[in-house]
Amino acid sequence: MKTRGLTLIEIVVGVSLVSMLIVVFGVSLLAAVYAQRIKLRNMASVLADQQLAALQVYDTSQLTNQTNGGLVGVLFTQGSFGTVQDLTAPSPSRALGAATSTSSGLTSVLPLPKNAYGDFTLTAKFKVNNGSAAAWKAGVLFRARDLRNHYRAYLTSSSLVLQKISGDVVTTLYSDARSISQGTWQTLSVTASGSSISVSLNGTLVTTKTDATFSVGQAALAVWEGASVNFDDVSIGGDSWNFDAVTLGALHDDWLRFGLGDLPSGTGTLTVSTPYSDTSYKRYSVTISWLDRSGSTRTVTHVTEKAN
Amino acid sequence: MRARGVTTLELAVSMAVAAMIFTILGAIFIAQGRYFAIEDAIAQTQYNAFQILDTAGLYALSSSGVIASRTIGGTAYTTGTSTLVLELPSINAADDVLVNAYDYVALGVSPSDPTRFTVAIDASTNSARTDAVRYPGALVDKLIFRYNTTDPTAATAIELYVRTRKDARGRTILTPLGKIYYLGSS
Repeated sequence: MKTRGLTLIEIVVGVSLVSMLIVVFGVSLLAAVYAQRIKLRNMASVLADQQLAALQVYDTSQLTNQTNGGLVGVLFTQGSFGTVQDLTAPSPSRALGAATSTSSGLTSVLPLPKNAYGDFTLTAKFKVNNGSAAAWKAGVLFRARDLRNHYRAYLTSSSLVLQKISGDVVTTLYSDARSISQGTWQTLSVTASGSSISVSLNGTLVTTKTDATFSVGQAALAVWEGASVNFDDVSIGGDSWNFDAVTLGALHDDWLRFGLGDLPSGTGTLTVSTPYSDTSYKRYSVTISWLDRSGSTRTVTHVTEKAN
Repeated sequence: MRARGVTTLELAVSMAVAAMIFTILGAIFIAQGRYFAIEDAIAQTQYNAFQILDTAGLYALSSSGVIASRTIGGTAYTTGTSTLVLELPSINAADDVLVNAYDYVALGVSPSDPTRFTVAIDASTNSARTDAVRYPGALVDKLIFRYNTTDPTAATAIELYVRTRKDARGRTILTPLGKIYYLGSS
């Protein structure tokens, strides 16, 4: 029996059918990818708008020119926080874990639930997990207006430090030498009352300093240099959280906030410039960046100008 | 010419090819349905979250301040993390402010359905605003108000966090958004 090969028309129809199926499937997949991308873009836009709105309460003379500097007047979440299993936690068996994909500077920030804490005692127990960078730092920010204006108390592997950051200028109010090992729980406590600031470590008063630069502001847990840190038994002004009833990977409801932490590896920068000869006129340019699934950096930039 | 019938082998092969094509088409159809359901959920959660932020902004930006509590339409609303009660200067039909007349607006979630964002308005007699309870947003999963002062009634800036949620084909779509409103800055 003589076998007949495929005709050209049969091959064309066959190839067309297969191509059609592939295209339909590809388009659906792309649509889903773009829907997610648009969602992240919208979220970044809201963050950029939030920064621009915050700048409206500043006189232009209060803002000095900067290129891709820190955000002003807002304290966004940063890095990734979620409840983790930790049988060594002071209140077993869950703790609040901080992680980040970046590795230098202030890498994770999670503001406490309220936006205004004046006089208070803030206590946080935390453990820097083994394997973190040797230059790790972990602690708290308080009376914070933004990352350029606040107090902070933190531990490193070799010291306890209390600092004031005012307009990006760092003033060390206290620093000592001590050895802190990774994998051990520490209890850091800060009491702010008027201009008096006291810091205790593991129940022992370490120092009391006087500084009246900031009287009220946000408080936050903070981690530097990409360290992996677990926090537990956080308390402030009568409220406390041990995270034991929180779903793994999630945040306690009180702590939910919208910020850079909602974007994959989200970061934000502010550029302040004087675009015209009239120096009272300022241009503010906010750029919010994040990584998409492919690892590409995506950005949203919003610009506004303001005159006194 | 005598027409030849279809052999059993030819029939079997064509049925197998047809089955394969239908299986692939079915899988694509199911996958497409899933993608569109997820896209739709993303769009809906975003729409509602933005709607809530915009509505809150509409009142917050023209507000003269936060008040501790207000009973509107028989329901008591108290300012806190889940509810915000604002005082707004009353306006006439031309949008001019009426002297010494105020409207009150409570924002939060519906007591009977916590997934619905509620705006309850208590308008003064001559105000162009009218007494009403409206539901401008749905799919609310979390709603939190925060204030820039320890006493909320002294706040000059309010931060609203909203997270909307919709389940679609076994996936939970969450859209978190937030905004800071500077009172009376409209």
